[in-house]
Amino acid sequence: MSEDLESGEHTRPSLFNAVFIISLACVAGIGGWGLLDPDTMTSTFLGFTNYMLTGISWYWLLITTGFLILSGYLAFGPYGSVRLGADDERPEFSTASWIAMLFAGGMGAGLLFWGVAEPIYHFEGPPGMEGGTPRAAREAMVITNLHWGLHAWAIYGVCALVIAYFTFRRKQTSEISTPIMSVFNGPEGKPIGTLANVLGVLAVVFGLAGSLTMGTLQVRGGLSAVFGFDATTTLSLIIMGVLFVCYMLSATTGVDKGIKILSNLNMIIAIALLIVVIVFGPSQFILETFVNSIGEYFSRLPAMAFRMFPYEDLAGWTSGWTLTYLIWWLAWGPFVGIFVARISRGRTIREFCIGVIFVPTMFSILWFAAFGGTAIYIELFAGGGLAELVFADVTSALFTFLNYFPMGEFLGATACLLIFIFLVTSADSGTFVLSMMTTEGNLNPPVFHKMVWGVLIAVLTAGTLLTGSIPVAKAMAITGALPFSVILLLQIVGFMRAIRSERPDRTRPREARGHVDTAPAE
Amino acid sequence: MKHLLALLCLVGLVSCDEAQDSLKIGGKDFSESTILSEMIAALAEDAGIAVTRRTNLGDTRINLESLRRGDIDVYPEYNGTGLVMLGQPAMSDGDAAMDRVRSLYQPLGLVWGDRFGFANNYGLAMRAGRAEELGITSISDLVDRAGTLTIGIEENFQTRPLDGYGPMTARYGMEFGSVNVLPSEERPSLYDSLLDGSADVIEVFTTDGQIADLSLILLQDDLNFFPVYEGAPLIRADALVRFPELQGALRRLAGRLDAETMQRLNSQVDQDALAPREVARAALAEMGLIEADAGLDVSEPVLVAHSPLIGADAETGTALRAVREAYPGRRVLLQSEPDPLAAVGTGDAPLALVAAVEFAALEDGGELSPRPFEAFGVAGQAYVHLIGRGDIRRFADVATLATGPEGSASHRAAQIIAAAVDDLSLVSTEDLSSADADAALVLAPIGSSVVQGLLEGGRLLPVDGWDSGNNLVRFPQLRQARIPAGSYAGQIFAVETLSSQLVLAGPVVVDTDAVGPQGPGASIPTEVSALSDGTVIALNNALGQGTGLDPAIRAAPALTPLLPSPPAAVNPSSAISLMTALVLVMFGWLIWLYARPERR
Repeated sequence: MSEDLESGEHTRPSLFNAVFIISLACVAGIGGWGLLDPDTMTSTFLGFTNYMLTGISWYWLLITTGFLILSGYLAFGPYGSVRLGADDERPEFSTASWIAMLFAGGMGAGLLFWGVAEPIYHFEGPPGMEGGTPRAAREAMVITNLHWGLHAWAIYGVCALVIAYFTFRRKQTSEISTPIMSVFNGPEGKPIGTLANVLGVLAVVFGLAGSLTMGTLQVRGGLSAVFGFDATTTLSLIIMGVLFVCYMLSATTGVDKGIKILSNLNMIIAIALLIVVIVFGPSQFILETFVNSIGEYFSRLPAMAFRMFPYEDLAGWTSGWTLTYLIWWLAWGPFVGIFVARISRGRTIREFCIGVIFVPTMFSILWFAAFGGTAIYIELFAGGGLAELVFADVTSALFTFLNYFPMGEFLGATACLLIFIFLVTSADSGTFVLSMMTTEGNLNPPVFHKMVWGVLIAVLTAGTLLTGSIPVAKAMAITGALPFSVILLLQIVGFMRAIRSERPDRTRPREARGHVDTAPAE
Repeated sequence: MKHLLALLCLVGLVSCDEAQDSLKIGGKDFSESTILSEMIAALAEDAGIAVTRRTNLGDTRINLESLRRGDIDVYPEYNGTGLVMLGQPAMSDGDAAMDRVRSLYQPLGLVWGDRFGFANNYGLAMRAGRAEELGITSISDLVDRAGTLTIGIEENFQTRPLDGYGPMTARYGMEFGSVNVLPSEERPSLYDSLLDGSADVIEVFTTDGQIADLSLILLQDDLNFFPVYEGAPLIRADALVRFPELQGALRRLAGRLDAETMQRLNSQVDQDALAPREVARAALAEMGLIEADAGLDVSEPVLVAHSPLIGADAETGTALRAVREAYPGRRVLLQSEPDPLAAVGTGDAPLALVAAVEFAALEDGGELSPRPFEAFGVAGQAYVHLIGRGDIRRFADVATLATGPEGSASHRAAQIIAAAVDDLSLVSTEDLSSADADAALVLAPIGSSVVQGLLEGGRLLPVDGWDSGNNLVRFPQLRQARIPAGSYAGQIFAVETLSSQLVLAGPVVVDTDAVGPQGPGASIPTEVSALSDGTVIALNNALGQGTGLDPAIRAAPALTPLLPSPPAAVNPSSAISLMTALVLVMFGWLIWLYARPERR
């Protein structure tokens, strides 16, 4: 394998066997537990998550806002011009494909699924104020953008940056453990690194399987809303089967073929859908909402990014909405991070931060202005009635909404297809990332590993679908976020220590003068 | 070329805008007006005109003003009202009134269409018994008595400047002892106030379905104070130009609706709680004006599970009206279930109309265990009707008791009674008829049609002695009550029995999970979902019952008062403190890791 990439400074253990085998054993153990006794597993995992989420709620908001501030500093601070790669390297993928792949890997179906539903939820019941009013509508858009905006992408951005820097700038392996090993460069580094890698793999495997289960149910909901199919487990398994074939084909062909083509296709369909909604919806209202959301989101961001409700007894709201979203983004962090790192070779840190954090945020503000804005418009000015339907069945919220448009059935079918492709792109990039993680960060991992992980994820997803329990899927999807937050903080420490060497004017760490450190790339 | 393309696009967009122009149909905020608006809408749609419904817009003033401003294009109006709104004296000749309003409204750019064929005049109505008792047949007869009587009216009538409440009392020279004013949208409950005795006289529309249904006396307007009000569409002249097909569409309705038809349709909406749109379309289809059910909105209906065994017609109507109000724009349908709560539990229906006894299941040990459902509001009261067959005259003589199917309210109530009484065996049947049972038990409101049917071959038996032992404590869902004498034909004495509240209910969704069901990758289970607090409160308000929920049943969280929380400890949880300390230590460790010297 890629032992030759190792710097000679310290001997790295051969992680191939250790990480791969320990991870497989753990996956089999936890997966078996989940399939045999889903209730106990769910209550254990969700109980743990609940306790962490409510007990130290401030921690989650603080670290994620911290990531946002950190990425701002990296983009506009002294390291902005550091290139993720050799100084003369140029980006591997075109900017359009890059952003398309970011979306396909990072948010995907959620945007479609929640585009209508979430603003309506906040519009009807904003925390601490009366619902259904124009003021509630403003609040709804700000809250939605808080959940889907800079915070989400800053988490991904930081997760990716720490990996990308070491991979492309330092020419080290593309693994979770790499930044951490630069902190613990003594003998304690090996077990800590292995632990971090295994935890990363577990978070990705279960996160992906849980998310795919939910995604399959979303597609199923769409199919029954548009085509009137019965929502049965059999239908779920059929969807899952087709999904499996598609993502295996896509993943085995590699990033620059299957994943890129699907992501671009996806982005085109999503933008087409967006344009249809803007043109055939209340265009003026949507664009006004968009412009207004930008101003309101950015001006209220400083307060919202630290907003908790210690006095109002709204802790339930915070953990149920804001923190839940943050946890979801964190749970997807290890996998999206490595994937985003993989496709970001050759960009400067400033370019990276703007591309990964700012541009997608602007897009999602527009997206919510179109979908959520139109939904609020329907509630406020066009007779209403949508909110009740959304509350009655969130799964079909998008499809109910699209029925307000000409050719609603066709749009609904398109949305179904889009959700499906988003699932495929999430699953194929996930499979790809898992193979990278278990082959010492091989940037083009062998097909064997992709097969193993692809099949394993399919088995776990099918098993979860058979239990028919959404809490099981949720527990699997997000529990990994909690240990991963600590790993991410350690990675950041390693990264921040390493990147100091990029500034010759800055004093190096004490006692390090004269020491031959890993030099910045020539 | 590029410019041409851009121009084409622009033209396309503008014409698109024009194509989207639709006929905006207003309407007043009572059933009849909504039905007529829906009829106009249906006929316009049938003629290929795009329609925007703005029914239930408000009172006459709001509709007329909206019409003049062009916010709406057409709404159903009455020629008498048309005169009064322009300050003209009322007329009792319909044809003359029509000519007069046509000439008066023409300068305003408003056109009166052909009359629908019925007149809906204002009138005063009383219960037959009460009117007889006071010897009243005409409004003049009221004059001497008015000081001791209560009149029920709605806001719109109160504010009408020429033919409303004030002018009417001035014309007849009377002053009512007290006046109950209801908001216009609660117009149907005027009849409730007449029935429950809180009003002696109410203001009615002569096409109200309830007048015939409840055999009310319509007082004679002997001074001809109330002018004639013939229904006709009032249209903006420019709408007739914009939609050339409109005139033809409206003309098809001319003279097709007589007063009886209108009473029937109003009754379908007010009493049977059918949706105005469905009633209007069905009536048009019956007259052969449109095809049956063409283009009917196929939105998912809100189902209310109920048990037909209780025969609670009035209460079901109340509940349906409330549900319709809480779910505006949705179709509301009844679904018959022997055990309505079970249907709610499986997610087949979001709501159920049930008796309080159904909230608990009787365990083998004779204990009641609560079922996971919660109540949203009171729709009425259900009484245990124990109907003895043949010569059975006492409860103690009953050995076998016929009940509804297992799980039904009747069966649950009988189970509880059997648990409290020795030697009573139950026979569960589909329709309460069992040849070998001594008596049948129906849990239903007083006046239930099911009970009336069963009483033809039996008599009501008292359920006495319930307060002996600890029954009152053990089975709080059943409370002691009396069915008043004369409630049923041939019932001379009041009957001692038990009663249970009739409530709208839904599932309890226990969610102690701090992690929300939402999230970017989350899919919310749709099998059973809780009603939002807003809907629960809307339902409760719409039910409009003064009575609170029986404390023996679980009320929805939105309806339970917030308890003042006890003073919290300064350190509420030491475990959380420990965790917080760990996090802080971790932060310290991270800072040390960052700042510590590089290892040589």
